[in-house]
Amino acid sequence: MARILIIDDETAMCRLLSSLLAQNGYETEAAFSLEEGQQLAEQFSPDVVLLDMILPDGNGLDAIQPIRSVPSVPEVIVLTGYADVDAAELATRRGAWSYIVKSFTTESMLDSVKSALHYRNQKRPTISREVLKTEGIVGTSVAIRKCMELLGKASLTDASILITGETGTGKELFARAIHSNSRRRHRNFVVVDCAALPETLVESVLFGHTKGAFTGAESSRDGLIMQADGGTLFLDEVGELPLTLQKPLLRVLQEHRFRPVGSDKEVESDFRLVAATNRDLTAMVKSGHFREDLLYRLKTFTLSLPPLRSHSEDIQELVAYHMGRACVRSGAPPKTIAPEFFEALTKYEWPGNVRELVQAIDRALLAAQDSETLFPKHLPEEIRVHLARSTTSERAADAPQVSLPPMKPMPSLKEVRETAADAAERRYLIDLLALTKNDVAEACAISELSKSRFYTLLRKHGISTRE
Amino acid sequence: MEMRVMALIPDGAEYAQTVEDALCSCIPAEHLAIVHDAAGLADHLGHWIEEPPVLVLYADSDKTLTSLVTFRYLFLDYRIILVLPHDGKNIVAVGHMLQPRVIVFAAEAREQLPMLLKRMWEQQEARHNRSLG
Repeated sequence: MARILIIDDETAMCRLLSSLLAQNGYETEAAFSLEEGQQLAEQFSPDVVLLDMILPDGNGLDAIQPIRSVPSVPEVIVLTGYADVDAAELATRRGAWSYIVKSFTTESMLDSVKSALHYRNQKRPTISREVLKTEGIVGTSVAIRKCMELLGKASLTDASILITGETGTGKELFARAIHSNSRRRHRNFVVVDCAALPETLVESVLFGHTKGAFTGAESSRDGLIMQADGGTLFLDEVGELPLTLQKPLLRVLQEHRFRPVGSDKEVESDFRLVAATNRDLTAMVKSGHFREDLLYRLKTFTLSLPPLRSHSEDIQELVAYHMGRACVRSGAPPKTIAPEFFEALTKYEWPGNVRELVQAIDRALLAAQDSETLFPKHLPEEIRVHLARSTTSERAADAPQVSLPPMKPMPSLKEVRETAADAAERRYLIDLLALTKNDVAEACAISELSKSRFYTLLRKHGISTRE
Repeated sequence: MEMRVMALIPDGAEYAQTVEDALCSCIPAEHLAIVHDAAGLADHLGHWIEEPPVLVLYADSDKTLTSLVTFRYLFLDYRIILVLPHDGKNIVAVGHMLQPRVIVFAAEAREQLPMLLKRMWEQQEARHNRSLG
């Protein structure tokens, strides 16, 4: 059933259109402002949006492009109370399917919706999974299929994409797949590892430099942005990008023009941007660590990858795929897998997601040596310990409740205070090191601790650092 | 908490000593393994699986780079710093096929490799500390 979203602040008009469209077999939703409409467009995945031009929080014409950028890429039909040739032209230029004056007849409105849907069905704005190149992306769960569908759609557009997900969920794999399925696949896929580049290097690495631009610049050099010309620029761990660099980067993303370090001439690069992060960029915007305008530029299209614990039904397929790869790599014959091995894998939560699973498989293969079958005992020790603990606590919870005297007397308030203070101290030190990027001098200045006291505390809590 | 680095530095390559010196200046010997050809690299990778190491691959010529690209399935799980002899458009384009985290040019390796590796080490420690929390 086709889905139609109506965005109009007139309740009566919304009701009339909803009823008309429902009678003709369409599923509808209504929003009464642009903000609400944009949110619903993301959630409801409409095929067509009927968009009023004048809304309480803005002009509908300005919303055409953002609405068409949501994953379902809906066709937009603009509704207006007055015929205005200039507005009609602007609506068309911004990608609207058609422009209808509200004195429409039932037939003309339905004809317009039908023709938009007919066009949409013909163009099929996705690549089916069968023809999608998805090297390394494994899984048939609903969560992964949904990501694949979005991947197919994203590959057909040139819109900026933000891929989010916990560490180890495969953000880079999806970024590469978007490139491999896009029209830019024959050009470079250039990775910018925002976390690995030191601040002193990042500007010249990104923008390039001219000969003599700084000490050691013995020749001119293209930066990564220029290397991505015609291809895809992948900003990995974009949340780690220094604030000082976010403004110049925003300009490059907007204009695709930039000035290499030391040059007085601007150069152009036609790249498609894909960014990835495991950080909460919205929270970083609120705390002042990430520019809001850059975030909006990055997330024209968002792809959220699920943690492995939410699609554990894919574990069996993942194990088969990665065991096959590991055996090819090492030249060892493939092993059979005991059912208990899969059962153990399914019970574990995989905080490091697919990456952790792959490493566990590698280690299990090594531990199994000449054994033809993988058993749970071949899994890494920390996983086995975790599983043993959780199984024991489950059993304890399932056991009949017997009234027993407490094993340990109630602790004193002093003990509770000390335990809490200890935990808070440890948390503080970890946060402090993250904030100061392991700069001990700065950490001591902030914490007002002497260096020796600081190191004593680090040792006490088993926290490591390097100066 | 340790970060291990495995490096491919072809014997007799121009700048081979520069690249090796740069690595030795910042990575303790017990954390560093240097091999001199792709076959040696393939042999060593099988033994370093607990925490995928950082790979520093010095492709001193088109030929070395092409052979690395042929074996790229071996490196997919590793973080690669690729060292190239120059910044010609073709060699850089082929270099990106190896999916490196960073490309460094040989003449700049002495300054840039230690900075990059130090940064990666710091990142790894920060991740380790976050996971403790």
